[in-house]
Amino acid sequence: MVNTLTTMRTLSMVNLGLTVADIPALILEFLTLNSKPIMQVLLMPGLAFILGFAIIAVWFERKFLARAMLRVGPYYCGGRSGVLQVFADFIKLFLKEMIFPDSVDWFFFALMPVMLSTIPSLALVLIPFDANWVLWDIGGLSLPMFLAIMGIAPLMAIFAGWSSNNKYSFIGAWRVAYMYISGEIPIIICSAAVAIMAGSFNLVKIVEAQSNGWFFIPQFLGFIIFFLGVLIQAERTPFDIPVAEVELVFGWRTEFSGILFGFTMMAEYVMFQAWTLLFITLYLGGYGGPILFGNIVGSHIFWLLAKFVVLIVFIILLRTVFPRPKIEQMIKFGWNYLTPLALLNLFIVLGLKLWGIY
Amino acid sequence: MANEEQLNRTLGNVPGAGAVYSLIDFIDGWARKYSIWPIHLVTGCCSPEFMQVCGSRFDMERLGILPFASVRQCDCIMVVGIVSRKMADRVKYLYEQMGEPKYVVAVGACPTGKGPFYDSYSVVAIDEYVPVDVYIPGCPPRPEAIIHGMMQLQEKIVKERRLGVKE
Repeated sequence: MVNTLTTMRTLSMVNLGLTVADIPALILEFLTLNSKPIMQVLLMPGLAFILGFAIIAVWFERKFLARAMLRVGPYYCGGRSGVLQVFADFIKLFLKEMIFPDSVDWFFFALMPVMLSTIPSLALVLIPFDANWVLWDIGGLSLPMFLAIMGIAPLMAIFAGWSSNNKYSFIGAWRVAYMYISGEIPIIICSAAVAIMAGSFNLVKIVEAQSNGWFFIPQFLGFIIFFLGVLIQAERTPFDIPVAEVELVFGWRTEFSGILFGFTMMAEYVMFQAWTLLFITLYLGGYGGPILFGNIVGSHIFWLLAKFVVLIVFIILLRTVFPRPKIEQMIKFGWNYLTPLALLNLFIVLGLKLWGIY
Repeated sequence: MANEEQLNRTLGNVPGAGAVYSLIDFIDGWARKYSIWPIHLVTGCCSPEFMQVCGSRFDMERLGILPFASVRQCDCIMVVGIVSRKMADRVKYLYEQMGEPKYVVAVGACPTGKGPFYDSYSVVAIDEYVPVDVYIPGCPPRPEAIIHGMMQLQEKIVKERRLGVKE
């Protein structure tokens, strides 16, 4: 045993001609070689993008909603426009007491909010921000992998509501289940239609197949259905049935306090971000620019971000307009209209493909 | 408890600990000042004034005050209106469910000191049940008065020290 260990040490350090003094140089070399992936993990599809989006979107949503209601919104916190409002909220939530009631299953209760905000952010590594800017390039598996990762997320919300052991959170958790079943199936059928039209499950190839025309023109039906599905999956306001503040106290989030509640709030925005980016990739040409005279104008990450901002503003604007449907109206809408129309969209795409129009 | 005191005494002797405590207290006070989330506990008829305060003319969200639905996430109970003896137990129950740090604001003359029902058998002043931080008198108080009361609460929060030297 001792001999083996000695041999291994000899092999690793001495035979390669390395000493302890070389370690900083090795680390530096590792960082230089891998600077691009590290920057990608930390900055653009990674941590800074998600956190920055959550902070800016919460602030913008509060301010924008306030302006739509002829109010001022956050004003005194940080300068004269309330830019530090979200920081104040999160610092307060960090330093606030976390309550674990006696009746909760504390393991799931503590784990699920953290998982809920991390698992949807894992899906962001599959989004192409440019032709060579995919953090985890798994080729033809990327679209099914995205749907699989995002399909885990509702389970977290269900477990979170279940482990709270409170009647309101329990009702909210089962509403999450109803919502996701009626929203996810149309979304998957629509993505299948997109994959058939592009001829690949690879998200980069789907974007490149849209260089002649974005897919929302031939698949307008699928475009609308997918958009509604994004609203349902991200629990945005026309479909925020699981956290209905009037009927259930706060849905499946009722029992969370302190930073656990902060995580559930952030999770909503992470889901929102991931689904919106997939929506842009599938129907609005991803990172490709607008199409003028049959040619695409410059593929750049700027275009993806520009479309992203426009969509975010539009979705937040919807919140000021629409009231919330009841849960059975929502399920009826999902099963009676969205799913058959998504199938119709799939058949239209098959027809276009068979007759060779696309 | 003894261990905690000993720990505090030991940490108090570390040079620079007081500065760190003050810094954390400052950041904490700033954050709590601008992020008071009240639960809107309607026990009586001052609630239209409270709705006005959240509405477009007297916008309370300017101060970062955002009413929330569940008491677990809130920092502050606003007892809006008359509290009967039966309701006061519920207010206390709600107060106990809230996480520290927590505050209570008595809005209106009735929860402050029984108001026009001073000789009723069932009306109580809410400070017999829970500790009240700010009293907002008036029958009902105008929205400006409620906003002024919340600003008084903010001043009180900023002057609090949770970690540092308690005098």
